[in-house]
Amino acid sequence: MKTWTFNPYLRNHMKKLIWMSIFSVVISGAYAQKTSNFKIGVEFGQGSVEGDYSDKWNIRQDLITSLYDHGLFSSRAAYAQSDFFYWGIKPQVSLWNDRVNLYSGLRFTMFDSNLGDRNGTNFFYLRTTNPDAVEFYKIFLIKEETAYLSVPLEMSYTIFHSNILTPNITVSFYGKAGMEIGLSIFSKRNVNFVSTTMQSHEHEVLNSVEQPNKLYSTLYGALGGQLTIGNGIQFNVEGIIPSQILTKNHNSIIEPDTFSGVQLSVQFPLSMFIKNN
Amino acid sequence: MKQYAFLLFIVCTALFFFACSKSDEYRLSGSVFIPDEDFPELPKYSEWGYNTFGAYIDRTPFVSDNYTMPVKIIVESDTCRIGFSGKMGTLTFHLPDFVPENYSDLLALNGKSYPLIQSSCMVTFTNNEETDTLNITEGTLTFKRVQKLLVDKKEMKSVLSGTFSMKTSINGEPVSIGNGRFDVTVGEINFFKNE
Repeated sequence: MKTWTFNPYLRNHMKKLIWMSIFSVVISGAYAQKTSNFKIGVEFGQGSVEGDYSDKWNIRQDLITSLYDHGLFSSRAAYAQSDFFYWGIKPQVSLWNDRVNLYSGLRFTMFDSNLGDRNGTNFFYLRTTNPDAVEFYKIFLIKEETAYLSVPLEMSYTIFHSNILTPNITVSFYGKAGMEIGLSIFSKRNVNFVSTTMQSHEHEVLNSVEQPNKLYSTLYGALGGQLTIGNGIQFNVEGIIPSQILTKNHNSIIEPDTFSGVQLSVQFPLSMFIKNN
Repeated sequence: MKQYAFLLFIVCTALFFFACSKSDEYRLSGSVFIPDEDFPELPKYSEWGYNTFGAYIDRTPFVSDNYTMPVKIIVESDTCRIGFSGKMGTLTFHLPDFVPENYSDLLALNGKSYPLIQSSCMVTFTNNEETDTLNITEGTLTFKRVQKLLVDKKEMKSVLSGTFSMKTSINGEPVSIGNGRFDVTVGEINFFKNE
């Protein structure tokens, strides 16, 4: 497996981004005036990427029959599936009586992607290095795991809030827009052949397709609900609406159309940890 | 008793591998129609063994379908017939002095081109059980690549890929058969040798 080293340019770029996000949150915090407007929390999210498998993999496209206009068929039954989860630390600054919130932080995202066959059997992978024959390998699954460390920048706007339950509990609903930029910190791929004797050709198959992009960037939107209890602790649940991965080839298995998912987060007022005199 | 158990194990294992190999044979015999970008009614030219062929007979597409065996090779004492069958009928090329023993011998066609105006290289078209011998005024059949099809290093079939075009007449009407292309597999099930 190829060992990755960070490109110095990308590393510097990443450092700048982290400093910029910290700086912007600090400046916003200064404007926020009150320590209670500053919160810090943790987030956890998961979701999936919608899309078709990448044509970089030379797969015979013969697996599912479906009628075409002239009684012919052309659909592909090899499928790509890509799920992800992430967690991160999330500083937050509230502005304009908590109507607008700015978030940043550091996020660890792990993609788990599979290329398999809908029928539960194998697909045929074309070995392109044999000039004298059409040569296929029978493969059950190609699997890729990729992890990214990224810096998100998010802004939410509270559409509605009310002390509907008790005076000490506020329920609110909000819309959010965000983007993140990050770098790959880990990537691993493997191939499961039908015949164990063919496993020695794993590197040949993997080397036929380039490694995923080290840079990773997304642009996303979300709708969420928030519960704020008396001491200022916030619980958020939000649904990520179908959103875009901006960088090309973030994943060698799937050509993404959109991604979506859910996110849970808890925010604690900084005043819980730092006493104002 | 142990001997019977061992025998049962051997039989089951053999059946499993036989079933796998039959399944591969079935799947590799299926047609995969990928439309051509310029002529979307015809399959894209490929060399993967997608079991498709297509051509325009004037402006009407003549293509393989999902239900008819797209190609049959019939070898006689002095001729090899290659018949492409679709909804409209069967277009058969009669290659003189080519007598392959089995489907592996078809590799001898790799890179060969047949001018169809030669009287010895006959082309027929069968429709509604009526066979017309085509009077070719211009045309060529080219086998761009003929290769073995291997699955996990085991030979399964031969793949014939190439092009054809001709000017002829069908039922007395001059027609042009153009943009012909084929990418078909030949194995035990569609190779016939008449002794």
